[in-house]
Amino acid sequence: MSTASPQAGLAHEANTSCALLVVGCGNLLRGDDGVGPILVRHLWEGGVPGDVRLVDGGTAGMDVAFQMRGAARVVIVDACATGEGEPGTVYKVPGPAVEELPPLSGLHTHSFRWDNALAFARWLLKDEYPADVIVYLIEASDLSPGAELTAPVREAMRRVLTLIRREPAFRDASSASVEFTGDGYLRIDAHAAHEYFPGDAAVVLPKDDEVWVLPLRGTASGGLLLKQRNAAGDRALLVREVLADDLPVGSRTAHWDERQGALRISRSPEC
Amino acid sequence: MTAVDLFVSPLGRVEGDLDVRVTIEDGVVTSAWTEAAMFRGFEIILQGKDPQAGLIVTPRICGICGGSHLYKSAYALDTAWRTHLPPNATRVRNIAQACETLQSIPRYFYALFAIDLTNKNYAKSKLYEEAVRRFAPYVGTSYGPGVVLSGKPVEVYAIFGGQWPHSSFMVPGGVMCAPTLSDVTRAIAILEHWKDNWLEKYWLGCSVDRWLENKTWDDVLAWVDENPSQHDSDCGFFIRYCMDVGLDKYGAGVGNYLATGTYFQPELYENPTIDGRNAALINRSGIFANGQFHEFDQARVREDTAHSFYEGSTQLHPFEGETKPIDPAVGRTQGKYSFAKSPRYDVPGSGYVPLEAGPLARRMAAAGPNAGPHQDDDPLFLDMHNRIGPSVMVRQLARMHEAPKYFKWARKWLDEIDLHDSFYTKPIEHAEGKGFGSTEAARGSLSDWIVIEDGKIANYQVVTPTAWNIGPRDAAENLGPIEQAMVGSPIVDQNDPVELGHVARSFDSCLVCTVHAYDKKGRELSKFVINGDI
Repeated sequence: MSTASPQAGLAHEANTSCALLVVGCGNLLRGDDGVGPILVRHLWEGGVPGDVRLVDGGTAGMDVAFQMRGAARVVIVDACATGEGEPGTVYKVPGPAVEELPPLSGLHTHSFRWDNALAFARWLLKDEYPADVIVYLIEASDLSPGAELTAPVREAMRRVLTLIRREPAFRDASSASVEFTGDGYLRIDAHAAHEYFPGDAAVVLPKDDEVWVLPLRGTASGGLLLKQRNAAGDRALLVREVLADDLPVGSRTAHWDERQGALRISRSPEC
Repeated sequence: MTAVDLFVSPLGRVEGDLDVRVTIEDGVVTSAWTEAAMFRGFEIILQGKDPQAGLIVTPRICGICGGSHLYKSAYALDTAWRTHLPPNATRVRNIAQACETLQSIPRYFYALFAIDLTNKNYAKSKLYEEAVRRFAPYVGTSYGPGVVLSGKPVEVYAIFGGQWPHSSFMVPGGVMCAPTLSDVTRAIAILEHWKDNWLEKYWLGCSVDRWLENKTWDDVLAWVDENPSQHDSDCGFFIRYCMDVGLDKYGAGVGNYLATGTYFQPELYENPTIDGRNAALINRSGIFANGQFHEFDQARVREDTAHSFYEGSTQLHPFEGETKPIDPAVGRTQGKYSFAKSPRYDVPGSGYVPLEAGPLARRMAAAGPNAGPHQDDDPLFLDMHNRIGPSVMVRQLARMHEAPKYFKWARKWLDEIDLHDSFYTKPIEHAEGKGFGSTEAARGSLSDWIVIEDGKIANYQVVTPTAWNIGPRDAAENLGPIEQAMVGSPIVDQNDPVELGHVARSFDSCLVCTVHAYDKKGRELSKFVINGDI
């Protein structure tokens, strides 16, 4: 039942601790205003490490403050309508620069927004207030009911997604277990293969004390083939030719380097 | 001539959410116009979509009562598709709906309503200092625990629904969850904690059972003086303060009420139908108008657009409902003044009349005749209505009265979940059908009407409690319930008409859960632009 499944991976409990909390705010029914919840959905679909908690904050306002309990670092994503930047402009704002207690006259739980929630959470959580809060704001273009995200906002969302995936809490997750086998194969688990090598083709480079595996878009331009080796979708690629006699047999932890666009594997086991 | 026209935005900090114009003569409101200035075209978004789109779209209408939207949109499809609902699914839906409301009761009271009680206009009351000590925002001795603990009940919602708000775990035929024994025991522990540490400790000063023994207004007054714990509880204090500053004297409203009811007796609603709905309800439906009780019948609902920014002046049943917005500037030349439609109900013998939705309406329905053995049968608020008349105070007490009541029900449903039984029966997705689903959000009855043709949504109409209450005048020039409730309010200080805020807020209407984009002007955001760095 497709209607229910997106909820399943989202935060189950309000009070579990996590290294990073990502909150997407805004209204899915109002065009670009929905960029926050849509970004959270993308993160969820791509999979996040256990230390990262996702919250579809929607328009709940005050609830954002309650969700912040236990988080070491908080990233909030919302649309903005300053009218000053081009649509798709991304602002990265430190939480303290924008937090603001809701006005006491005319306060209304329905009009509570995350900028109020940040200040409110300081009161609510006291010593447990997250050490680090940043807010990504994306300049909206079209807020009409039922509209899709506009192209510039969609593009900005991709940029923010990349930035969030560079967060330390994600970097730890971008490690994968790989194994060099005695007969010259490099085994990569299904998750890492799916995440980093969707084209099922790669170039392998010996680089000092490391082996770098760089993804190719497809097999048309050559490179090594990632072959599926079991039903789970784990992959193997034949690296014997490239590494020749220098094959570092055994299990290794590999790290995805976003800047270089490479899965980096140390030759020595202790790394 | 001492008539003065006053324009205020009593409900939100954002101008345009709800503007109210009142005429004041000799310090008393003599007429009122509520203007909802925002168009929210959910019905248009849904037309032509997959029938299940309502499960995704309507919970996004509101960030406060998204669970209530989900609940009634699921029942609209259950009745349209003639599904089978396992009793467990009904229990989980009941629990989730109740927990959303339980969350809302203290959060609304302390974070929204009670702040007004500390307004300087009341400084002459001998109880004022005590009101400030308890209810002052952030620092009040009751504000803190009330607001902090308000987050607890929706933790129970999240155990079953994956998240709160904006979950979509209720689907036609049941719920998408498979709770374990530890889920259920955790839910019980959370609710008990909330009851012990807020409801009994701060609000009641007694057990929930002791409070629920109150059947008349005299019982309530005796309860206040029964012992220091009750006298000095937030509830005891609130009653005394209201009577001291006069909140028991104004905000009466139209005196006619509509409740569509909520929570189903699981065994009586395994095969949901529109006709079988009333009998299966636990929190009963009912109309109370001109002193008479009537059964609720969805066929008698109409939406009037005489003074709303929509084409023409129509009075259509929601199955035939239209949403054709017009330019407000054009509308104003035709005497229209709000984007809210005016829901009306055809009361037998009285014609189409405006009805108040909300906790007081539910409490009136709970006192109606012919309650079944599984149904709430509670005379307290009918007695209060007849003895002291409706007011801001009575409306508040009706809402707070539901905390002990719903707590007990939710606990019972948690005990009744059979972990070995099913939570979902796959439905047949009929290509044609009509459905009606309804519930009681914390702030009143909330309903969906769906028409499915050729496997798609041909028509979808959502009628919210806010529409019932905040709607403008109708074709017969009857004032909407909030407009009527404002009439008669004394205005002490025209520069700070706190009384209008009390009246408006006592309905807890929802208007601003729409665009939440950050729009602070005058802030230097440009120095935070990062486009070049990526």
